[in-house]
Order: sequence, then C-alpha cells, then structure tokens
Amino acid sequence: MREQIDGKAIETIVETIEVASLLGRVSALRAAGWRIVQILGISTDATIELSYSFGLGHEMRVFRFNAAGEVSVPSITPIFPGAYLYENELRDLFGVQIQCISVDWLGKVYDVAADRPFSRIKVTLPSSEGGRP
Amino acid sequence: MSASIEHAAVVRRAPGPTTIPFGPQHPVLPEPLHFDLVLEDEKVVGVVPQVGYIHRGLELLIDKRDFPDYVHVAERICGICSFMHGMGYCESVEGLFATIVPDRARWLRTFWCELERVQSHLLWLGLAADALGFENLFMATWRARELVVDVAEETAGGRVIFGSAIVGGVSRDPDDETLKRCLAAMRDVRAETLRLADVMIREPTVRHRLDGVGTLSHDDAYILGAVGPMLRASGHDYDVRSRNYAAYGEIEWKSVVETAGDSMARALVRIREIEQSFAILDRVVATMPAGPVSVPVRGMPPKGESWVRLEQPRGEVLYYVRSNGTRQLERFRVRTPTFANIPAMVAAFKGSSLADVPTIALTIDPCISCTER
Amino acid sequence: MSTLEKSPWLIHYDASSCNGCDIEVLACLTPVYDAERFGCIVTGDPKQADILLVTGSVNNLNEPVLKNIYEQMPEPRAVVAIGACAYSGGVFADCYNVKGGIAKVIPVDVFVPGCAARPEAILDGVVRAAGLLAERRRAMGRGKRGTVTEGEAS
Repeated sequence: MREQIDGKAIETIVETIEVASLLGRVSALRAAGWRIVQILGISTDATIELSYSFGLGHEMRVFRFNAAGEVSVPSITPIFPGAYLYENELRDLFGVQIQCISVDWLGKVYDVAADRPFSRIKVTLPSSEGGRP
Repeated sequence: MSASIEHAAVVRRAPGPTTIPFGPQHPVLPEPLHFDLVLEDEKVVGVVPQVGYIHRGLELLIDKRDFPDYVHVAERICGICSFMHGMGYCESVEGLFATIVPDRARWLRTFWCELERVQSHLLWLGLAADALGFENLFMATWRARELVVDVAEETAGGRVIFGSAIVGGVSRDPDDETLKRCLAAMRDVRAETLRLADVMIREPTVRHRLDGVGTLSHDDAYILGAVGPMLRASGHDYDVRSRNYAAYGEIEWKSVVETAGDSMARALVRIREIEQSFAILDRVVATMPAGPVSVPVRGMPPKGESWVRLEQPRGEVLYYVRSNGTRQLERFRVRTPTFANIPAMVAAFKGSSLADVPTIALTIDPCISCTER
Repeated sequence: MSTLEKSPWLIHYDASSCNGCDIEVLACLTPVYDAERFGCIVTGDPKQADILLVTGSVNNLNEPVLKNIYEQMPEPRAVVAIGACAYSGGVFADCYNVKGGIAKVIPVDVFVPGCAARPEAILDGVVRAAGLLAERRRAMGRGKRGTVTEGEAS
C-alpha cells in the first residue's frame, strides 16, 4: 500500500497475519510506543478484509487478515482501550464476529436501517434491498 | 384502593449512580450529540456516547458514482471542513493515478485549507463563548467570521461547501490581485480575532470554567488515539501538516503545542492556531507560483489502493480508496478526527461535574456529521 | 398584526445534515444576517417555539425525535425545511440509511433551496413561515379560548 504526498508515494508496511497472532502483534506495537490510527473493513463477494493501522510519528504499519464467516476476532480494547468504536462499527456494518469489546452497543451503534449494509458477501445477505424503503 | 399506598415503605434513595441523558437536541450544540452520563451526585463517573442520528452511509455511495463525481459527496461529509474532505478524496485518487498536481493548485489548496481552519476555529470560538454564557462574544466572533466566509465565496465560489476541489487540481483560479485584496480584508479580521480571543482568555469567569477542567493526561491522549488540538493540548507535538502535503513543505509554519491537557489548553491551542493560520495565508499568497491549476485525469483508475492523511481543524483525518480498475471505485473510507477523539472525550468527562459537561464537550469541538458519515 | 407574526420563536433540529445548512442557520442569527430583527429568538424548548427549522433528511433514529419536537409545539406552528437534503435527501438520497425528505414525517410549509442553503434564502423562508403563522392564527379564530373578555377581567 502506498501513501500519496503530491506524487511522491510512500510505502507502508502491510503484513498479512493470522487472526490468532493479532493480540500478540498489537501488544508488541503498543509496548514500542505506537498508537492506533484506524481499523478498516473491506468486503468482497467472499471475504471481509480487516486492516488494523497503527502509527508512530509519520510511520504507519498495517496488519491485515480475512474475517469473513465464522472467524472469531478478539477485541483489541484490552490493549488500546479507544478501539471500541471501530470494533462496534465493524461488527454492525460488516457482521464481523468481534468478541468482548469493552464498550458494547450490542449491534446498535448506529441503529441503521439495513442489516450489515457494508457486507457484500452473497451467502449471508438476507435480501438485496437491505432496508431502504 | 389506597391500601398499597399506605403500606408502601418510603425509602430515601440510597446514594448511587444515576444515569441521565445529555442530548440529542441540546441548545449548546447545533448537532445531535447524545451521551448517557452516569452520575454519582454531581460527579460524572461514566459516559456512554450514543451515535447514529446522522449516519447516512455515504461511504457506500462510492460504487454508485464515477470517481470524479464522488467529490461532491466527499465535500458533504461535513460542512465545516468541506474543502479538506474534497481535497483529501482527490489526493487519494491522485495517489492511485500517481498524478502530480501543478504547483499553483498545491498553493491554492493550502490557501483554502488554512482559510477553512480559520473559519472553523472562529466558529468554535463563537460556540464556546455561547456555551459559557458569553453571548456578545459569540455574536462578535461570528461577525468576524463572516468576512472570512466572504473571502471563501469570492475565491472558491461557495460559503460553506467550497466546491473548488477536483481530481487533478482545483477548479477555480482566483487571480493574484483578488487574493491580495482578500488578504487585506482579512487583516481587520485578524486584529479583531486577536482582540476577541484576548477577551476570552483573560476573562476570570471563563478561566474559572476552563482552567483545570476536563483534564486529559499526556499518556491517555496518546493511547486513546486522540488527534489534533486534543492531542497537542496534552503535550504531543503531532501535526499532520508536517508530512508536507500540498505546499506545507515550502511554507514556514510551526505546530502549536500546550501541555496542561485541560479545557483551557485546548482552547489556547485553537486560538493560537487561528493566528498561525493567518500568518500561513500571508505567506501562501506572497509565494504563490503562476501556472495551471489542474491536470486532466482521464481513463480508468489503475487497480490498487492509496491513502492520504491531512490535518483538519479537528485533527488528523485519513482517507482510503481502493480501485478495481473501473470508473467506480471499490471502497472509500474516511476516518475523521472526531471519531478518533470520542474515547479521549469520554476520558476527559470522567471526574468532572455535570455543569461542566457542555463546556468540555465544546472544547473538544466535536463534529458529529464527520463522525457518523 | 399579531405578536406571532412580529416575533416568531424558532427551534432548530439537525436531522442527519452535513452541517453546511446548520452553520448557515447559525449565521442567520448572528449580526451580519440578524434574524433577530424580525423578533426571532432560538429556543431549545419545543413548547415555546412557533417555527421549526429542520436541516437534513430523515432516518430511523431521528424520525421519532423530529415527530416528538413537532408534536410538542403549540398550534399554530410552521415548519421550514432547509436545503436539498430536507427536501429529498439531496446528494445522499441513494444512501441506505436515508429515508428521504422530512415531508415524509411531518407536514412542511416552506422549502428553502440550496446545498448549502444561503442565509438570505433561509431568512426568506423564516419570514414566509411567519406570514403563514399569522394566517393560521386568524383561521383558528382569535379570542375563543384562553382569553379574557371585557368585564370578566375585573
């Protein structure tokens, strides 16, 4: 992945990791002084790709894995307590199974009109027109 | 009939936590911000933010529009930082194409960014004054702000939604004479702003409500992921403008840092940034290069992904786009500053008294429309 | 001229707007545009308000809030829908969480155009709504209820 600054692309380290190693990798980053920047979800027909971005000064690192289906993702709120909004959003909008979020809206963070509107996974979407009346 | 009443024991409620709602329709904020405050007596012990009143799901519109047309949606993520949202989207798409924007366009983008920062911080100063019960300062600040908005309208074409960012540059090219005239008009605003800000920070009743209130510690601000004035008021020197996007690499400026971490520190950071932004505007106009203001961006975006970070009035914002090689991009994501600041805002509320909640909320300068998208 | 026409009190609700129109509503109240010269004051209490200014479009969450505010306002009342979103959803009409204009939930009297609506247009909308209020007041019949006729007063 590259970041753009006026034509000068800056490479960022993107690592594809296993879900099981997520907490360990994130703790190591926190211990090294990194801060959380964002958690991003992208859905295709078959996958929901999660990208966890962390920043230190101008540097950025990204951990990436597929969380579609029954994959159970541990919450990183014990390490970065401010991550709860991102995780609630991912669960409500994409249907990612994130476990034990410290502040939990139980599927109602935005209270949206559609079920998992950001997910494009064909099998699990109940109907093509989610909730727009 | 009355038996149950006669036999009911009247128990004085044991002291314990009480939950009260704050918002969504609250006079202090023009936007629906809603918290459930958990109180012990007058002291706030817990806060649960309730969002969703403004959620539109605009990120999903990305595959319904051609990529050059999505700028209109991106600008309307939030009316206060409209130009920067449009520009952030454009820069991320330019990243996909590896387009190099002409120099004059970079300078004009910097000009409008700083104009927007002045406008936004003045808006904040007015609302904060109003929340403190300082109504004539609110009115005076907004009168000064109108002159800045007039400059935006004259140079960019819009008062709140600037509408001048396009993929490949900017759509308007105000001539140097217009820019110099606008700067001259803004000298008065600059003097007036300094005077008003001085009134605000010297006033004992204001200091009483801001000094030592809503303190966010140095470590908490960082770990909770705070950005912008919120992070800098707690002593971190982190301003994304130092990444030298647009023309910031060629123009002298310095990030504003305070160390106290309380409401006053956040107010001071913004007040000093207004002054700084006026200085940057002067330098931008003085060094503005001549030349074209846009390059054509044609064809299909190449497959790939790209992201951009900018410093908005409220802090670091991150734009991400991914293309699958068609005119409609696959994914657009914006992580806005208030979204990142909410956990830190909750931390700042804890331990304060109920009466301070509205003023602390305002020193964070929340933008709910950004947050919920 | 009734007092309502002379000094309508406003209440503003932001229903999923991008803030653009909200800023302009605030700009209307401040010295350059100065809606207060028409006797307008912004109140946070729906029971004291005559004109409801709504920006943005309706979704599931804010629909009951909007209805609630409208129903608490005393008759006669008027609703001004500000901006393209309040009319149809505007640029966000295709979003899944946008139900459409506010006329789907409450009756609207004046639509103010623009994205974002200009302060001049908003002022015009408020003045028109004030005229409507006066008409409605007359149509309701003055002095039927709650007023004291001569003789009873002493």
